[in-house]
Amino acid sequence: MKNSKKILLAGTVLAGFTATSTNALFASTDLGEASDVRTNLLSDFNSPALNNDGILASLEAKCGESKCGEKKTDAKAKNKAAEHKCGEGKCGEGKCGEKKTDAKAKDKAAEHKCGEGKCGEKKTESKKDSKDKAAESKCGEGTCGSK
Amino acid sequence: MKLKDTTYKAYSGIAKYCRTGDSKHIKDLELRQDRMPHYRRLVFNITKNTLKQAYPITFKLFNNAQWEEVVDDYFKNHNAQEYRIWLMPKEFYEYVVEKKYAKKYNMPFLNDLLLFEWIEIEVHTMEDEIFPKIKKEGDIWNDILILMPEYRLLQLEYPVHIKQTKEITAADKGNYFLFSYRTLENKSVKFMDLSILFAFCIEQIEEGNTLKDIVKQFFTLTNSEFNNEIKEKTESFIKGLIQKEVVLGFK
Repeated sequence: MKNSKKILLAGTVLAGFTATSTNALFASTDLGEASDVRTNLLSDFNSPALNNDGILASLEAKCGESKCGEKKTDAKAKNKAAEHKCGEGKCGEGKCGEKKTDAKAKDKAAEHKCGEGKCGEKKTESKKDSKDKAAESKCGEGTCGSK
Repeated sequence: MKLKDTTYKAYSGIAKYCRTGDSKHIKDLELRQDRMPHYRRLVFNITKNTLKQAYPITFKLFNNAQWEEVVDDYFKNHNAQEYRIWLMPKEFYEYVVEKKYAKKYNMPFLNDLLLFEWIEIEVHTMEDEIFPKIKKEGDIWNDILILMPEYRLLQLEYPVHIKQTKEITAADKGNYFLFSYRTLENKSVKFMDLSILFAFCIEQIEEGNTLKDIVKQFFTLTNSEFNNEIKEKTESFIKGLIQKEVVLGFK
């Protein structure tokens, strides 16, 4: 298993390759968007016989919607996938399809210490902190309105 | 910039405490000891959630005990080097491979599955590449083709990208080629399952060889014969790649 732009096919796989069927040589399947592939692989009613369209069609049949529903299902599936992983979910940056640069990621990482990346956490912590501080402080030292 | 020794010691102590829960690492530090368990919980939750989001298929494949075991082991024992949170799952993948969890859990396809799931993140979030200058017109067979640079080509042993994990058996073991690229249109990630010939074409185009030479080389290496059908289908594959903007043009 190799992961690169150059996987040295010539030296390894081709040495033991025998073309049993010429059709196998030309097999190339466009699997589509990563989020759709993932949704299919996670889906319980999926089978290899069904491609993306097949699954969407079966969803279609189940919900009883006709033509207008088709688009809806597609969009739904996409949204669902986006929620799960599609870039945004995974790295917590930007919307799906937004251009992301490493520099951006670097900046973000630089801004946050490990574990502080989640929006709101730091805030909560500091809120808590200030509450505690106020509680600890002598009368008059807290923020306006704090006990 | 090099950190001060005291700062480094404090960071390391907190990190060790977060990973192990052992308070001996922070007892000499000037901080609110009673708050540290909450800090640890938050860090651990972020790690767990990041991994769960990065590897949803693996998460589904494992039972609760397995998932907890792997994540806890990784969190506790892996000396994470990457400061960018989006790259953390890559270290998780490497750790699982190193610790041979595929064998332990009798899931021979586990390493492939993790790599397949990781590559989506990598391709999606990787740094923008510099696109080379190209000519739009040229001869598919005799001119050097130029690939778009934002892609990865994987060789897998199990068909984790086309089959659900519950359907994968030992008999599926073989050579699978997954092409993953970031589209120019909207920067989404797409996958293609390729035959050995087409994977070889991609690899050799990257090397700067012409299609004519690539196909010739392929048939020499495999002792097979070149014919018109092969010529037509290979040409059609390349034209498809041009349409998808995977092949940008000619040198």
